[in-house]
Amino acid sequence: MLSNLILGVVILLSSIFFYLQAIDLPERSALFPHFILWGMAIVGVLLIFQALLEVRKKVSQEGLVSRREARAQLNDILIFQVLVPGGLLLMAYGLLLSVGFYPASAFLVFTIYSYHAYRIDAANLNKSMWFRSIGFAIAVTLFMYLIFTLLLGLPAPSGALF
Amino acid sequence: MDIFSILLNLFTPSVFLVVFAGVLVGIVVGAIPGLNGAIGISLLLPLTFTMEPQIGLLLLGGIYMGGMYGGSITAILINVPGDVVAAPVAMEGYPLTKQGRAKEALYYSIFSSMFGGFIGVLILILFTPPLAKLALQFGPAEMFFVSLSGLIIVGALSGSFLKAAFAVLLGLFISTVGVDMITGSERFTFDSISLRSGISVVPVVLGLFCFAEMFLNIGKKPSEQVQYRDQKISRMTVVKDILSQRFLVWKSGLIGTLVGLLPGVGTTLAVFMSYGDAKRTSRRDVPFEQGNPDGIIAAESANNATVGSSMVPLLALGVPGSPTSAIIAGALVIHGIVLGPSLFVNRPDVAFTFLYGMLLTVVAMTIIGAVGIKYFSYILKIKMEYIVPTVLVFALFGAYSLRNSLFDVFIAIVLGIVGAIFKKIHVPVAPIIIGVVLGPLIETNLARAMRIAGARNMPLWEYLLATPLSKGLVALVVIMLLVVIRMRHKEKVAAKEVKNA
Repeated sequence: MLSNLILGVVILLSSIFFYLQAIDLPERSALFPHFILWGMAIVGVLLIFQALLEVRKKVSQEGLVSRREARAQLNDILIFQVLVPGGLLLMAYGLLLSVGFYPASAFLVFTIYSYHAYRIDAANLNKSMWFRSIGFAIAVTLFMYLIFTLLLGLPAPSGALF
Repeated sequence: MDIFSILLNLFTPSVFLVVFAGVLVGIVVGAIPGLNGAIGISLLLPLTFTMEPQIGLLLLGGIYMGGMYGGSITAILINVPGDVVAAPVAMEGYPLTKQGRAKEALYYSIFSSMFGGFIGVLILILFTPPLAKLALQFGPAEMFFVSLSGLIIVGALSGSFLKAAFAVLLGLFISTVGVDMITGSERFTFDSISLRSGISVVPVVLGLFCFAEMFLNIGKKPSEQVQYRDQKISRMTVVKDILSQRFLVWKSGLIGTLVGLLPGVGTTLAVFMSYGDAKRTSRRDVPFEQGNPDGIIAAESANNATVGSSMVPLLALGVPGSPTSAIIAGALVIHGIVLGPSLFVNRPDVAFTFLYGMLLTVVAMTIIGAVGIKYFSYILKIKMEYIVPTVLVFALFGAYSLRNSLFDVFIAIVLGIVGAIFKKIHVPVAPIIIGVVLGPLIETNLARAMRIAGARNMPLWEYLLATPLSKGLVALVVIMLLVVIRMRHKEKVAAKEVKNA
C-alpha cells in the first residue's frame, strides 16, 4: 500500500510540475498535454485516497508480518535487480559514448554475466567463472561485429577505441 | 492478365527461392529485439535492383510477412517482443511458456499468423479498388474515433484500473514530448536538442519490455527460471482449436485488414484492438494475461492481416499505408514503376504477380515457422546467464539502430529501470505503449478536426459527428466502452464471491 501512496504522490507532483511547464505554450500546443496532465493528477489523487483507505483498514498480526516481508522483498528486488543492473547499463552507456559500442558491449556482457553468477551464489566468483565471462563477452562482441558491421553494414556508435 | 500467366510467372524456382529467403530474413530480423521488417527491407533493398521488379517486390513482401511473425518468437519464449506488435503475444505466450507449453504457444502463433496472412492477402487480391476508396472516406473525425477506440482496451486489461489508466496517460504524455507538429513549438524538451525530435516508440518498447524483463531475470537461480519442458502437442490439435475459433480469427483478420488500410495508423493499433476484443469475448476458462490462447490467435491474425491491407492504398492509390510499405514504394519507384490505379493497366505483370505471390509468402512463413518451432524452442534450453547479457547488448544496438541516436539508447535504459519498478508495483506496461502509439494520432486528428470546424464556422462536435461513418464509429466506441464496464463489473463480482467463499 505504501508503494501505491508513493506512486500517487509522485504522479500528482509530476503532473503539477509538467502542467506548469506547459502553461507558456501556445493554446493549441498546450491543449492535449493539459488534458493528459489533468487526467494524471486525478489518477494520482485517487491512488492516494485508495492507499489511505487501505491503511485505515484493520489488519491482523499475520497480515502485518506478511506485509513487512513483502516490503523487504520489494526493497531487495529494487536494489539488486533494478538499480544495480540499471547502474551497470548506465556505466556501459557512458563507455559507449567514450570508447565506442563494441568495447562497451564487451564490458556489459562481462559485468552482467559476473553479477548474475554472484547473485545466484557469491561462491561462484572463482577463477573459472572469470575466464568464462571474459570468453563469453569476447564471443558475443565478435558475433555482433560480424553480423551488424561486417555482414549487414549497419552503423554502430563509434568512440575513441572503436 | 489471366490467372494461368500469373501462375506461370509465380511457379519458378527463382520466385520460390526469393520468397523463402525473404521470409527467413524477415523472421530473423523480426525476432531480434529492436529490429523489424522495415529494417530488413531497407537492408536488402539494394539487392532487388538487379532483379525483375516483381521478384524483387516478392523478396520485400516476404521480409514484411516474416517480420510480422518473427517478433512473436522471442515474445513467447523469453517475454522479449522482437517488435511493438508482438507485445500482446508476450502477454499470453510467455505465461504458456512458463507452464511448459512453449511449443503450443508457438503453434498458435504461426497458424494464427497464417490464417491472418491469408485473410489479408485474399482481401488485397479481391477488393483492392473498393477498399482503397473506403480508406479515403476516413477524415480527421473518423481517424480520431478509431484512435480513441484503441484506448478503450486499456479498461479490458486485468489488475488495477487506476494503474492502467495512469499507464496509458503516461504513454500519451510521452508522445507529446518534442516539437509540436501543428504549431512548431517545443513541448517538455527542456532545451535539449535530442528531445526535440520526440521519444520514439522503439526505445520505449525495448526499455519497458526487454530491459525490464532482463533486469528481473538477473540472479534467478536455475530452479526459479522457466524450465524447458516440451509438452507434446500435435500441430493438428492446435489448428483444429484455431478453426473452432474461426469467428475470432475472421474478426481479428478483418480488424487487421480495416485498420491496416488506414494510412499512418499502423499495425500496433490493429493488434491491440483485436487483443482487447478477444479479451471481451473469449469463452475460455483461462484468464487473460495467464496464457489464454485466444489472445495469441487474435493478435497474430490481426498482425499478419495488416500486411496485405497496408499494400491496398499503395497499389491502388500510390499512398503507402505503413513505413514498411513506404520503403517498398521506394523500391518500385527505383524500378520505374508508377504506383496508383494505372499500375494495373500499365504493369499488370508486376501488380498481379505480386498480389498472388503474397499468398506464397504466407505459405513460406507457415512452412518455415512450423518446421522451425522445434529449433526455436531450444532458446529455453540456454541458461539465463547467457541470455540476459546477450539480449541486453542486442537491445542496446536495436535502440540505437532505428534513428542512429545515442539518446534513444539512454531513453531505453532509463525506461528499463522505470519498467522494472512498474512491474514490481503492478503497474501494467502495455498501456504505456498503446498511449505512445495512439497519442500522435489522437492529437493530430483532433487538431485537424478543430481547424476544419473553425474554418467552417461550426462547433467541433458537429464536425466530428457530421458523417454517417463517424456516427457509426462513435456508436462503436460507446458499445465497446459499455462492454468493458460490464466485464470489469463481472470480474469484480466474481472476485468478491471468491473472497467471501
